[in-house]
Amino acid sequence: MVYILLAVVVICVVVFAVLATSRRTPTSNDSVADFQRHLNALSPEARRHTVENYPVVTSPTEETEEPDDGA
Amino acid sequence: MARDLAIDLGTANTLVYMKGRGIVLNEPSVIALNRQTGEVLATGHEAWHMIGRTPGYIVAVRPLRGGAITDFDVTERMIRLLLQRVGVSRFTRPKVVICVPSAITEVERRAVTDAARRAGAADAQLIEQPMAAAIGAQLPIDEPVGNMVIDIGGGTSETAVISLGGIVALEAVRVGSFDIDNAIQNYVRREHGIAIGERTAEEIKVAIGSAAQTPDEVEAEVSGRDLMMGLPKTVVLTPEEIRYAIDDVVSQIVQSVVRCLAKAPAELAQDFLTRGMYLVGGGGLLRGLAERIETETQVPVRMSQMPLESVVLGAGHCIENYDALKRMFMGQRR
Repeated sequence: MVYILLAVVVICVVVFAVLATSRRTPTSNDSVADFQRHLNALSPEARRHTVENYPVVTSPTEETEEPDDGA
Repeated sequence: MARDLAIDLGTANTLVYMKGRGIVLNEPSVIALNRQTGEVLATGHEAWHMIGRTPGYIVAVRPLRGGAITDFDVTERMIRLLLQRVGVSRFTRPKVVICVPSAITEVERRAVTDAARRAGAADAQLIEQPMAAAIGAQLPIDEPVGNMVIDIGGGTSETAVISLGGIVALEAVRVGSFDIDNAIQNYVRREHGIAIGERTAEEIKVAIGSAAQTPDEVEAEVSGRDLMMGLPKTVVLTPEEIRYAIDDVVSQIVQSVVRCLAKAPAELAQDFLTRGMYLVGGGGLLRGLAERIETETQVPVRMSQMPLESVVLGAGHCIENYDALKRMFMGQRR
């Protein structure tokens, strides 16, 4: 009986902890970290990966003739 | 598993960036349709070659004008075909980031996102073209300094000042390369009495068009239909004539850059003088344009290394870092 009660208490605590974590309001630390993550993702090092690591694929017809207007 | 996509849905060209693979498609935003049945006959380069040369039952159209959708159904079909060509099926629905002009209206925004969703995207987010261009042009926009980018596309010209990952000042006009082509068409019709097509006007612009005098200028022969006689006729055009013909359009673009400079905070003005402005977009390739802007603003102008791809590469970077860069999307800023 004691073990069952203990198990119920443990489950309640876990459920309460999960709910509390998922529903907590964002703090100023979250917004600072979020903004920093945003700026880090825009850093030249982060962008170099996108711009330089992937080759530009051109279609075969494009090499022969192409309109010059802007995209 | 669908690979997420970034699309630069331009008035002139459409580019598609696939997450983890880079630019997988780059072709004109043109679609050829059977006028009677509504069937799609060709898209991209193939359809572009048909412009002005089709029999009565075929129509080759650009479904976007001034960066906005002018024909919703045709645009949706074009996006659907683009997605199919890069491997999207009804079972693989990717997230899509689409670059749009910053000046588009709420209705136009909804038209673009609805078209993408109906064409097979699981989620469609929009990003302003100058912001995407600044990311793709590798400008240090994560720093608290003024970065100025001028994006001249087929239907719009946008100038933005960006600092700390956000737009500080913005100026957009619905004028671009196609307006330059139209100005050439109108001039040749008015002054030489011959009618020329859209593609011929574009070829003249590329061959001898300029916004300011440049060294090694040459004349060009152009053939069209004599408006009086209805017969083919050839005339010779000079670079001075073309400069005169396109001056109104070029002036509108330059004036929008001047207005954006005037809107920018004084603290950033010194950054422009030392760092210069960056020119991106196909319209920026017009000879003498950088010099003309530089002369009229007294601010150095630099050409981006990849002027035609900067916008889609910037949007592609947002797709690669979707969660971290969510706040870049229109309507997501907090």
